[in-house]
Amino acid sequence: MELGVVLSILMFVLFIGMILIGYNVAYSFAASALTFSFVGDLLDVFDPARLNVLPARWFGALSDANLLAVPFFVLMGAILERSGMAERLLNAIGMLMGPLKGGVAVAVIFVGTLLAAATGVVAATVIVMGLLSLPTMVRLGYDHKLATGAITASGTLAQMLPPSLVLILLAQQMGVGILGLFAGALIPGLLLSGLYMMYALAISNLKPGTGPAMSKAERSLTGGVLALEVLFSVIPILLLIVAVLVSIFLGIATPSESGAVGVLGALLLAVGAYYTDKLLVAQGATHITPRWRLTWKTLKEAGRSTANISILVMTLLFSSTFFAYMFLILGGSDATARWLADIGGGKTGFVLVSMVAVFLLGINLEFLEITFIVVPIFVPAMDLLGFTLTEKIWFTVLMAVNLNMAFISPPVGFSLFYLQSVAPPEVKTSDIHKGAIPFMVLQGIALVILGFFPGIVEFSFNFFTLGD
Amino acid sequence: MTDRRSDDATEKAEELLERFTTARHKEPAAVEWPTGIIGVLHVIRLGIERVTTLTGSIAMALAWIVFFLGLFNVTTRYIARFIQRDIIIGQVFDLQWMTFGALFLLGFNYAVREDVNPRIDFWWTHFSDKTKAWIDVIGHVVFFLPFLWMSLTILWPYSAQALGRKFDGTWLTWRVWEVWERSADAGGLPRGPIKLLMLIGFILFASQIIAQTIKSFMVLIDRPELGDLAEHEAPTRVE
Repeated sequence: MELGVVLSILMFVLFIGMILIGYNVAYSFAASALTFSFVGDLLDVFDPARLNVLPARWFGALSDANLLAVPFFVLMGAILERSGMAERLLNAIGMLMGPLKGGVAVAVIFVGTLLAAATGVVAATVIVMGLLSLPTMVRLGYDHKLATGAITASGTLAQMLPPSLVLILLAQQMGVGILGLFAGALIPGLLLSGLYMMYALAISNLKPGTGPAMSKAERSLTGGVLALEVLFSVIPILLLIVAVLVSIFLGIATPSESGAVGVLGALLLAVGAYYTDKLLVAQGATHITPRWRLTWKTLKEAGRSTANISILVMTLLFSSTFFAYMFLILGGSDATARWLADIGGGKTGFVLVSMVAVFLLGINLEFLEITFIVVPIFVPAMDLLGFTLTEKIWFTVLMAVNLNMAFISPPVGFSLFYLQSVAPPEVKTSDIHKGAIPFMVLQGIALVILGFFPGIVEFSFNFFTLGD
Repeated sequence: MTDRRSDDATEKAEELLERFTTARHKEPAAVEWPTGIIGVLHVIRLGIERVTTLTGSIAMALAWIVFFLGLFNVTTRYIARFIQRDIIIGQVFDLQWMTFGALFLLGFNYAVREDVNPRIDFWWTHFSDKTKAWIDVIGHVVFFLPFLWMSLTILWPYSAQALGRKFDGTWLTWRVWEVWERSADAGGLPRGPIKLLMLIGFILFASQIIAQTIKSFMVLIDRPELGDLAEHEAPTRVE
């Protein structure tokens, strides 16, 4: 083996060691790359003058129009998170679907899907739904496993459904374009959501006692008021998501422009909700207290989380740029690409191996780290194997489903931790863990379906991008 | 489907969400003022963090400014299409990504102090305070500060022209904008200032890492009241 390749492998080992003992991931990237630029210089396989291209690469990241979409979508999610949208939706849809067996679970999944698409934040979605609907489901006599599984699984869809931060960054690192990835991921995301709902309905009807119907006494809301409430809670948010996505898909606006309009929409929605709530109270709804949501504090907090996440992403990107550059120059990039390409089985073999790797990494790492660690390694191999653009999008969607699975895998999945922190005492941690398993199986089924029928992603891509 | 208690639940949800987003950093409590070299280090740390607080609030404000610029941009583009006249202001597009650049360049130090950047807390949570402090001190001093130093040395020639250095190495006295190259797009903004900001951003980054090292060092010498460790009770999660 060449000396450079050995050094790049050692660099990777040093990086993994540093992040495992808990040193900051972003700093570890830069630290290990710097160490091996120094070692490489000592051993005459690296010329330090080559480091001078780094500022230009950083500048490229800084002026990247794709990354400009990040602050907009984060800000949009941060405003919606605080707009009271979740409770309104859960209330209305829960009352609507309650009379069905398993109806509340289906309502949770439906609302989770909407919230996930709108906010793009798993933590927020899971926590809010866990606080608002888990106690209700427990009181109604739902099986704890079904109740918790529905919440964690649908909340985790936030990674998968466009517009989401995960997809923006994956698109940027894969070089497939935000538009294409959003389009390709939409139907697979909805497929997952549909599978969850079917499962919730099926199990509550087949196994008595898992998802009882709401009794008459529970249904405090009926008729016209309920219809109004459903309308007021679902329509605005649906309109907002559709408007943002359609304007991207039709090429009317760039992702960052749609994001700007999305933020405006989120602000309007938060204002409008105050007036619709007032109207509902006037109509006789008793469980709502209209509250003005856009306080100074809310806006400040939204700005803070936008700044936090943008800085976090860019810090990681700056240092991983250096790492990826060293990996390329030392020859590790070529070597791993050749190795991955020669694994046997061509594209299929590569996809299988990489999926297993992503799943194993996903159990302990967040999507951000995975995106910045493994995607730069995968891309050269994919180019070597001759992946087309649609195949790259297909592969990225598979990765997203896979990360979803890792995210609810007991006992360490992040979504499970979020739910544990807010679950009422009668819900046992083991219930949360067991509850996730059927939904993991569903995700596995979806992964296999999507893996065997790339046509689904391709159709989603062609359908939403209008074939161009 | 939510109960009458939904208001309580909402409040609790907001409280929890806040834990994910609000500032983690607290001003150090009034302690007996340390003397000697420890006192000097403490003062340096406090001075650095004052700057960090300032640039952090600038970064937060810039998040909203990026939004307003984006909105202005898309509105003018649509009005232009509607009235069939070219009123697109090219500079605003440049200004938009430059503002985003300024947001994170000026915020690097703030994110460091708030411990926003992710760690794998697999083993970290089980470590003692001293072990955590050792990891950070060694990591910062041996690895990360040298990286930042290297970055500054390569960024200096890249950004120096923004300060008026000509290609032949001589300096303009005060009309520095004469050497700012123009943006690639016609009608764009000069790129000198943002390149200079890259240099400033890395200086700020390094300064807060130094402050961070001082804080971990305080834990190592048994003065934890002067230090501050990453606790990760409520980690900042992105997803």
